[in-house]
Amino acid sequence: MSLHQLVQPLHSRPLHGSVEFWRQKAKALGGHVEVDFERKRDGLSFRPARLTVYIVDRDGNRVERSPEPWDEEINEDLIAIGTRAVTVNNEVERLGYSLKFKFEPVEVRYGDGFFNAMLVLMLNELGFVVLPSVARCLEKISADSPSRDSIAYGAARRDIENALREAGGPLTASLGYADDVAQQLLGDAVAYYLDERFHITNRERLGYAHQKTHPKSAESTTSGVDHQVDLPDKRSQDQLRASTISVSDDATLDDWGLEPGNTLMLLPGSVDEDGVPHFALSTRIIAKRLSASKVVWSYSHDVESARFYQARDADWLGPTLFVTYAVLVAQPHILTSTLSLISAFLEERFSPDCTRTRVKMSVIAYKTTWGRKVRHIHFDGPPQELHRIADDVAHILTGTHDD
Amino acid sequence: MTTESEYINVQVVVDAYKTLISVAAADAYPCADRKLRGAHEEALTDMRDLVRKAKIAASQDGRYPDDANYLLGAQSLCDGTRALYSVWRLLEDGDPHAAWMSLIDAQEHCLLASRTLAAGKDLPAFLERLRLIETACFPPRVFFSPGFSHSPGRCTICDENIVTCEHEEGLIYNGQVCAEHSIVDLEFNHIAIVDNPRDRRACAEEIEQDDGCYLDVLTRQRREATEEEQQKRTTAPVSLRLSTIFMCTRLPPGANL
Repeated sequence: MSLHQLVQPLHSRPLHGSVEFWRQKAKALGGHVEVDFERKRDGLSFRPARLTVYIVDRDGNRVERSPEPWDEEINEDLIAIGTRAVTVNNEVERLGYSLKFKFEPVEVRYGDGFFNAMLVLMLNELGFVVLPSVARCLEKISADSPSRDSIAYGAARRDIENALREAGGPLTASLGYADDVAQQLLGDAVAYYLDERFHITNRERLGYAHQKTHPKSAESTTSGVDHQVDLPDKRSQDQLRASTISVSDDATLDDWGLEPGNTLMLLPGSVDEDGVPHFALSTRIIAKRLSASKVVWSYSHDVESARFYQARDADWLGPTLFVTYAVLVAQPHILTSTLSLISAFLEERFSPDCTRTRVKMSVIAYKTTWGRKVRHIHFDGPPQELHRIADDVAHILTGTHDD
Repeated sequence: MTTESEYINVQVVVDAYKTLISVAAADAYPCADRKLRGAHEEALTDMRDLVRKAKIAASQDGRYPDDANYLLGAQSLCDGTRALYSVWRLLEDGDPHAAWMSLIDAQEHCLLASRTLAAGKDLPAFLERLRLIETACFPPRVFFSPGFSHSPGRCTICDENIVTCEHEEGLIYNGQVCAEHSIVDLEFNHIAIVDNPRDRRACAEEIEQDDGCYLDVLTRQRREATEEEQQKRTTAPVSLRLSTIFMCTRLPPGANL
């Protein structure tokens, strides 16, 4: 590369080697290049994104296929040489995923709270709200207004607009879409981005569709969990089952030989006559996943001297969890998060037969005001529905069942 | 220090492996010429050793975990396909019990491969074939699974306490499967008859019949009860001879580098 090339506009930089190769090959055949974007949903998250590049000859036959892991640079260069996605829907997904990378520096610069608020404001101002796909998302997002006195206000507007222009411009300039088609594509791509950013589909899957997602305060610049999940005041009677979750007031801990804690606890399935705890083998795997998901938890006993058991009266014996009411109030999402994590683990573990997998779980709930009574919740259903137990636990503890 | 990786061109190994595995998997039928099957079995053994050597080099180098994981998958596919050839050979040699063990080996190796990038588009069909062989070539089996408890063992990846280390059992790290080893203080408390055992090698080999004879589940041969077995009959109405139950503590495929 020469000094001359270094000072040229970015779009004139040399193409990525692979893209240059595909372009030359297609040119030699008198054909073109096309790309298939793939990003499969996997429970509440996604599998890694992939691009499959096809060389198409002059007769429209695909003569070569190159699967590649997602690479933003390759994607941009493919767009630069006019490579469309295989279908319009596929184009929307590719562009929507690419928006994540375009918005990322803006989010880092201003913080996710301010960025969220500015993004929602600008989408309204720029007319995205007339597109049904975006309107559907925006009506499920509740955002505070950003402070217009902030020094960052003008700069954030400019940066968000640039990111959108960077994504939308090539639709007409490089990919040759008509203006109205390009507008629709950009709108749908923004909806794709919003859906993931504000967990819209995930919230629907978790049964919180009726609630709006609250982006962080527009004044906040801290990172971390970007929305707050409140336990819904709603009962889904038909799901409840099995268990391994116990919900109790602290007052009963002495009865159970447990110290009150301010975290989710993992309990042994039994303690033998010598006082040695016996944990289900699954406990330690779930414990590691909880740590990886930043859920604060602790073992109820010293595990260095513990024993682990396995038996085949079930294909997988889950861990025994203990959550006090105090923890549930302080961290209302903890049960949903933990159950979703167990669901995801089970789906992965029993894939591809997870649709036939049944989970049984029992919950024992106790409040001091109930005297000596406890309430049992039983769940028997597919792993994907496990999180719904959280609704019933919340209802039992806060609802009208004290009679 | 010179590492082994400097002497192994991974791409050359992978190319050779791909060429062999596509042919060997396509020919792995009992009707294929016996000499051809023997040649494939030998070639797969050699290829498996070569791939494993490349995997160890990549793993020890530490800079290429993706290569190491791919090579683990390739090694498993060589092992799995070779085990399928062993199934046909052992059946022809009149040793169905060993053939059954090889079939389970094949299934386990190919399942491991399916979790790596070495899994090609044909692998699901190959796995389905292995599943069908189970019912097409062997009678229904009665499986067993033990219930037991034990003290924590050590992690195959870091050799630390498996409970407190950062690795998750069953996941692949740098060409190696995380598993628990050096389990001590094992206490068995029951054996259960189950449909879906932890290890499909643990099954009944002989079942006592109503007439007092013993039926070999696989060879279908019947034999008279021995004197000792006849004496036991008073306390145990039906007895079974198990292949093994101790496989439950063995390391899964890929746990050793």
